[in-house]
Parts: sequence; C-alpha cells; structure tokens
Amino acid sequence: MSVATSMPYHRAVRRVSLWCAWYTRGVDADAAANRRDELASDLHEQATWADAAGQSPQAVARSILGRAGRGALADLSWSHAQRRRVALADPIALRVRRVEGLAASLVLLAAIAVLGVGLYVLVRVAAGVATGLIRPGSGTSIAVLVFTALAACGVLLLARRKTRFIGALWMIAPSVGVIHYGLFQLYSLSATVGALMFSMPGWSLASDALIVGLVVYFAAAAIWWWPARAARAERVGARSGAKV
Amino acid sequence: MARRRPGTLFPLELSILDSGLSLQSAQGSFYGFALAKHLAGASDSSLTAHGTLYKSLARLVELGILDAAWEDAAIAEADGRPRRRLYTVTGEGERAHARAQAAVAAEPTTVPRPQIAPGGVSLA
Repeated sequence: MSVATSMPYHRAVRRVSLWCAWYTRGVDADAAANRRDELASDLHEQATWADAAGQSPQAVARSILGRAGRGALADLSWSHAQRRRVALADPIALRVRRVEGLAASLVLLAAIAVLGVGLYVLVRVAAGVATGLIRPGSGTSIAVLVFTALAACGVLLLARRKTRFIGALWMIAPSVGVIHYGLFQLYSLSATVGALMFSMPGWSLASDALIVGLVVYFAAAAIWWWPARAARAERVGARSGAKV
Repeated sequence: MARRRPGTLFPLELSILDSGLSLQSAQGSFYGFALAKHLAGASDSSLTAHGTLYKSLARLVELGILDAAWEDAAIAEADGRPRRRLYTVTGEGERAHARAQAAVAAEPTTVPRPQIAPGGVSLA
C-alpha cells in the first residue's frame, strides 16, 4: 500500500487541514486560499517522496503531524499579522469589531454576575439545609436552582458569537428570577440582607430597579445583536475579511 | 520566540536563499516541499515545519527577495498532483545572498545578519 492511500497519512492530512482551516479563518480570502493550496501541495509531495524513499505510512504521518505542531506558533503569528493587516486597511470594520468585542464582553460579564449571585444563594441554601436553618426543597430554593441553571445556559449561549442574540434574550428570565427569588431566599439565610431589608426604606425599590436594569440591559443587547443588524455587521466584517 | 530587529533576516531565511539558489540553478525554480527537503538534507535534520517554512517564504516574497507564481494547473493535472507554488530568487535576493557569503568569508566565526535597506537588501 502506498503512503498516499494509507489511513495514517489520510488521518494526518485531515488533522493538518482542519488546523489550517482554523487558523486561516478571518484571513484575507486570497491569502487563505494560497496557504491552503500550498499546504495541500506540500502534503502530497511529502507522500510521493516518502513512497519513493520507502518510508512507512506511520512514519510519514508522524512527520507531517510533527511539522504541523512545530510550526503552529508561526502559523498563529502569520494569521495574526494577516488579520491585522486586513483590519488596518479598513478602519471602519476594525472599529465595528472593537465595539462588538466590548459589547459582548460587558454582556457576558453581567450574565456571569447573575450566575454568580445564583450560585452564591445556592451555596447559602446548601449550608442552611446542612445546619437545619431551613427545610430542604422549599419552593424558593427550587426557583433559585432553576433560574441559576437557566443563567448557566445563558452564559454558554452568550459565549458563542452565533448564539449571542438568543443568549441575551434568554438571560432576561434568569435575571428576574435569580435576583427576585435569590434576595427573598437570602432574607431568611443572611443576617446582612435581613438587616438591610428592615433598615433600608428603599430596599424594595433598589432590588426592583436592579431587576428592571438587568432586563433593559439584556433586552438592549438582544436588540444590538438582532439578526438583521448582525447580518449587516457580518457583511462589514466580511468586507474586511474579519469576523465580528 | 526571537524578536526581529527591523531590516534583518533570520538564519532560516538565509538558508532558504542558499537552498533556493541551488534548486533554481538546477530546475529553474523551486517549491515549498523541495525546499524543505533540501534544507533538511543540508543540515541533516527533520523537515522544516509547515508554519515556519511558509511564513518565511511569504516574508521573503514581501521583501522582494523571492518571486512567487502558481504553476500552470494543466501541468499539475497532467502529473496528477496539486499545483505547486513556484518560487524564484530575484536580483535583489541574489545580491543579498552574495553579500551574506562575502560577509561569512570575511568573518568565518560569526555570521552577521544582512540589513535590508528601504530600497532593497544590503549587508551592514
């Protein structure tokens, strides 16, 4: 069996091709195509040469993967330089990318904060149940658990560019649930929250304002990433060869 | 990763020039894998990594030291293989190589890096 028709060689080629497809994403289309075609030629030439030299398919596959691994940093550096060049050639697209990145980070941060509050309350609930302070399986604690789980899903959706819009919409419900039921649950678990509820006349207003603020924040993010607008931003990004 | 001083060539890029000129004198031009094989043969080591090799080649093309052109698709198809990207060392590349060799001959223990002038390649 020749190297070119062997499974180890094909597996190695597939891995190198996947790696190449990954680091050439967002790079100028011509530069990316040149790199892919040049690599395809190199892999074919190596198989032909290895056949003539009587090398085993396993040795060729190891050599190919070794070459890809040793050159990975250079690949990433090349890819970064290519993207930067494209971005600098189109300042509008660069600005769009930066604003998109900032918006995505801020919304993700807010979602993580909501998730953090939910997890904190759940830890306090678990500690309260363990010490006999509250009974297990109360309606409020189950509500906190459910909304925290929803917040975790929202964070995952927001973390991916393609699902940011759904993630922002999704986070509206857990924001309301985690803050509302979480604070209610903390009232019976935390001396500080209990004291604040009694001593602060505006406590209820403040917690409601926080909930409304989060709802408006995530709704605004959903509008920002509304599919029609996102498609327009995508076109700007495509024009620059960079994904937003 | 080593930082490059502006206007300098890395040792690998000098080796590419050296091997490229050898291959070019025999075959008229050279391509990526032939170069990797020649470099490995010259230093008796493993084949140059894909990323390292093609990044260096791209840089040399940008500097005007190499010219690159895709092989005629019909030739590649007739041979039943993907088309090659064929490189040739330009006049500037040949001058840079000659100057590097002269510098090596003048000072055999240390190899100075050639300086690239704004309008071409020269050795400091």
